[in-house]
Amino acid sequence: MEMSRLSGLNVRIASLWSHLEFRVLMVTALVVVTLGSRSPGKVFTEGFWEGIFRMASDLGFLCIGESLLLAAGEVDLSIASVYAWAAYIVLTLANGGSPFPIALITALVFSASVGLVNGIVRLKTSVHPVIVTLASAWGLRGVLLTLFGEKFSKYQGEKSIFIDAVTGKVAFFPSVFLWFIGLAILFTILLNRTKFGNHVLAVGGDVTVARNMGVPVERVKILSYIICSLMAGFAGCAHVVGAALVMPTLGTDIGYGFGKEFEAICVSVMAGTSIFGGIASMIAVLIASIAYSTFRSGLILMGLPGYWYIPVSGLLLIIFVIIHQIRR
Amino acid sequence: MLPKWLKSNEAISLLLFLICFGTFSIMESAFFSPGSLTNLAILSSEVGLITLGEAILLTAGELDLSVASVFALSSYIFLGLAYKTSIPLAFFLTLMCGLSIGFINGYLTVRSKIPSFITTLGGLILWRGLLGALSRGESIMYYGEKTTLLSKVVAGNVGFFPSVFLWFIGLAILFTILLNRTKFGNHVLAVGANVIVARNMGVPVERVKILSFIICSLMATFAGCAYFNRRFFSATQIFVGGELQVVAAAVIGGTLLGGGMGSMLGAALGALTVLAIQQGLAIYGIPVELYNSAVGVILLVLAAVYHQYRKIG
Repeated sequence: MEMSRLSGLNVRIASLWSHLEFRVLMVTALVVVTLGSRSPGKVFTEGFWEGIFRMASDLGFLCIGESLLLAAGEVDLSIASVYAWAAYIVLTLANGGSPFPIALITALVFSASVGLVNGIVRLKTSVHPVIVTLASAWGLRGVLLTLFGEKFSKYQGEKSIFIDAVTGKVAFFPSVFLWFIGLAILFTILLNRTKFGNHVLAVGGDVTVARNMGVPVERVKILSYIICSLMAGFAGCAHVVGAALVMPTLGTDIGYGFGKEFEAICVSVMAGTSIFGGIASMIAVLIASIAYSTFRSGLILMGLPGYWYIPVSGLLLIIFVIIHQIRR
Repeated sequence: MLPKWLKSNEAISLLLFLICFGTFSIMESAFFSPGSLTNLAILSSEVGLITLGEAILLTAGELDLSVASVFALSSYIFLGLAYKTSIPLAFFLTLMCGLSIGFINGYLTVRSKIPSFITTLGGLILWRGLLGALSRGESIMYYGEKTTLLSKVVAGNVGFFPSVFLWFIGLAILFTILLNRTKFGNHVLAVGANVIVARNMGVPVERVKILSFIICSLMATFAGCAYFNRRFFSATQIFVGGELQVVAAAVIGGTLLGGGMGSMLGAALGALTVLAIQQGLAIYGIPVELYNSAVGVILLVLAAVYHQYRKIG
């Protein structure tokens, strides 16, 4: 009797544990509890969590796009450059007096076309996506740095509904976080309940089988590239309207030459997205973004200098890839 | 029809180099001045040494994105060790660090079957991040002894030539022999062309790949030591984005992304071409940021062209 109840509990835990989201949630809880026990006065405050939610959302938009693309069996390293480009397009147009919707649409169209070009070049030449998107990352960044130099800029365009909708607060939550939750749910439906999502997972899982089953492989992959860039562009726009000051190095950690693209891949891998394609959970991405942001802030709370989060993310990336690889 | 030797990778990359070099020399006399040429020789040698290692690894069908980070980190390791031990020992230990990094990259990639772009992407972040964390993002000057035997050997002058350039030429020849005339080179080509066929023919695939990773990191470390002994400082920003230049140089030299085909002399000429473009653009006052853009575009175009070329045969 006692034994069977115990084993029943075991089975229930095991079946819960088999869910990606649950495992990621446990890791997050572990990070929060560890941090909370070390410095409770700093962690359990409203300001701390508002900061975490803002940080998680800013990165999370990129992670959603990157996870979708990874699920399709591809990878994009140019998202940080697209993020910066979209931010500067909105900033330049809006500061120049254009109405905000036009600036936003221009930035998003630009982002989508970068994704389109990445996708076409990648699929027509069969060059590895890392090489293609690394080249376009440096290509875009170089032009942006040349155009704007090393000066700071600030968004001074009109105040529109969109800006209130991303910079404001709804009850306890910053509204940008609600956008993030909304998009994570939208992408969950897209990935699991639509034909396109089905195709993405099929193409990422086994491209030959997918092709034989009549999935338009090339179109699905190019669309995934476009969506990935679009999310990066959206993140850039949402960032710049609320940011105090921006520089053309936006999205990279100054001095390292890289930044958000690696963080996005790191979070995606933490969230259980397979680097071989075919597996992704957007809810896990949502949780992992919060975990990563808590962890990053936590390093500073624990007294490590701000520089340390970069090598630690690199290490995390390798460790999580190995863990997932062993599970396979 | 073109004669066969004209269609070789070396001939094409030599032609590309001569076009770039010739154009800049004719357009701008400052480009052809002794100072500028010496500078070109030194910079292209440092990039070229890394390119040789990367070209071997690409030929074996793998990719190392962490070379620029390893290059930068080795300057910090050398600096730290030079204070604590003697210069030759510091040099030896730095090379050993590079060897270990290559081994870790290779072992992780081969044993856990994680694609090399992910393991070395982790390395790219980890090693440069570690450098930034240890140096707190600041440049560190070296105040120890600067004129040593090592600095003369790797960063001095032999007659008219900078000695690092002679190292570069020598190693390019050595690597050409290694790839085309030894068993190991034969194995590298076989593994890169078709890993299953190679395994069935008895090639120790794992060992060959791990060795290629080690060679790649070792060359990056050696280049980093040469750089340090010329400039005597360490900073997080050293050679940021360099992995793009290195891969571009290898591709210009006719190394196929995907493996099975590589040319060491081509890679050397590729490094010279990439740096000639940098030098030329700098003389025109074109911002250095645009140089990386240009390298990116060249890389994409050439990779696409070579891929097409291979498909035809």
